[in-house]
Amino acid sequence: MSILSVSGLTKRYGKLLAVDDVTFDVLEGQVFGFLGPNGSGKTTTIGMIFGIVTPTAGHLTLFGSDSPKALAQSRTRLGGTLEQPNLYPYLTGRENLRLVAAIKRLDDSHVDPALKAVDLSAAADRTTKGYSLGMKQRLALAAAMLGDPQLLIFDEPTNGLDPEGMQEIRELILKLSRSGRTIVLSTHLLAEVERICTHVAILKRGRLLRSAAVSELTAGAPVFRLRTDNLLTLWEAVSKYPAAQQMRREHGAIYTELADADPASLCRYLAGLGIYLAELTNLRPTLEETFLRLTGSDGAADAQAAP
Amino acid sequence: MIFTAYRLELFKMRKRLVVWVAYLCFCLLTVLIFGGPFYAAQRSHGHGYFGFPNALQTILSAATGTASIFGVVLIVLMVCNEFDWKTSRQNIIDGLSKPQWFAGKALLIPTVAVTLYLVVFAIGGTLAFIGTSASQPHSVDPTSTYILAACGALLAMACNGSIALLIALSVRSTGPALAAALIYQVFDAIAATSLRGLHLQAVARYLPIQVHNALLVYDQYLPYGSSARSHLDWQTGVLFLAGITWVAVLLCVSYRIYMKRDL
Repeated sequence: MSILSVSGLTKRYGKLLAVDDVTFDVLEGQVFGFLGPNGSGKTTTIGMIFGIVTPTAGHLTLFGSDSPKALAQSRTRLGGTLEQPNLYPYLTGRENLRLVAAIKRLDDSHVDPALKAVDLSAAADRTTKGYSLGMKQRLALAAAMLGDPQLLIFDEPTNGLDPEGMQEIRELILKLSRSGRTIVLSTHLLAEVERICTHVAILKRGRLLRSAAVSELTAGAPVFRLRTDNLLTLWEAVSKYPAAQQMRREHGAIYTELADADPASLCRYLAGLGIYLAELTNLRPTLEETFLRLTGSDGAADAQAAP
Repeated sequence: MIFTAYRLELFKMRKRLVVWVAYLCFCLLTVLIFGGPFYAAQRSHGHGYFGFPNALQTILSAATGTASIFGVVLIVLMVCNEFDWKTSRQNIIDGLSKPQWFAGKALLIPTVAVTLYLVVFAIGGTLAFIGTSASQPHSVDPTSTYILAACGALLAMACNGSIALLIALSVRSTGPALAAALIYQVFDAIAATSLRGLHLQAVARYLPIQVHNALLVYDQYLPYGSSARSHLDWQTGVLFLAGITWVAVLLCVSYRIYMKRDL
């Protein structure tokens, strides 16, 4: 079932085309990654989904509703953050959540469990001005989770965090995803998408380049790297192996595609010939390689592979 | 839901230290404003008097100009920071509609006006109560004058608060908005002088701050024909109508600006 459907979504600021005819669908239970270099239109697109940016053109369907009034009603079933944790610095963590709970028409009894879920109970009565960025991100996640929304949208939730903080946020998002919620995650961190997301949309300069399952994007004929003491003997043996294709020798190793994608059979075949491999590596294309191929050098400059 | 939005605004206002500091500063200024005549009356041994009912005129009008300026500052502080911290957009993401958010902020205008006026009453009234003496000759204006003067002062503060809201929603940054709101007070006065120089008195007197200033003049509400009122050229009804119209126009323009712009 489609939770969110975006069709031909466009946003123009004067001469600048921030989002250009973007179309994608998010199905129930997916963790949908929104990937793109800085300035690719991720935040603007999410702003339009949240209803805080007015689209210049296009169509948006949320939980099957598309009229402005029904959309406003449907938006009560989604939660999230945009760009950064937007908190009142002079209020405590608990007061910030009480405020969000009041907006969502929930009573204060929802606040403490939410604080506990993000491990902020101990800091709940401190003003958020003194929170670290990681704590702010966690509190923003708790606020987004209040009311148990069906769709959660997070824009750059690990931005500015240290590796430990990133890991904490990732685990929280994975926990949410396992509980059956649909999650849209915007980021320019490729590793984050590869670790968390089931599906991904890649944007560049406001245009959607590709939208597919992560497994689909990283699929392709598997290339294997083989090394042994005697490269010449190995070359002769592998070249006679029926499934071996597109062989090449580079940097003291042999690279070959395997039509049957079965490296175990190749190992058995080579062992039968008395050749024992020092290395057999599957060089499946990574999301990073796919992303760089799609976005070109501009994207490579902005996107970060793995923290 | 508008009530919820307003309740949240009151909650935020109550929790902000800068709001309390502004109210404290206003209290101190109000003590100074009323302390002068009170102290002079205490030392004059019967020649001066700061007590009820004579002091009512002073209480109703002396600190209202200052209250109006503090109202502008408080409105700008309560609105612009929402854009600085991007909490305005988060409120919408969390489920508040844009009209509800605006209504919550607009309702701060009467709240700020009434609370500041209550401070004036509390401080001025306390000093006047202390200074009240039965032996003093009493000067009493009609009750309608007192009521109209209080309503006029509140309307003036609402008018200035609406200007502040418009500027805050247009500028969206605390420092520049405060500067713009205060500069506008001067700009309005200069524009009025220029318009009068061009023999456009009718236009000049209807400028927002000119209407605001006229609404704060206590003598404006004295009965027709009284000598103190003879130099004033406003009819009370027209003045009130002008004030209400400015509040309505400024709120409508603020609403349109807020609704049209992305957060």
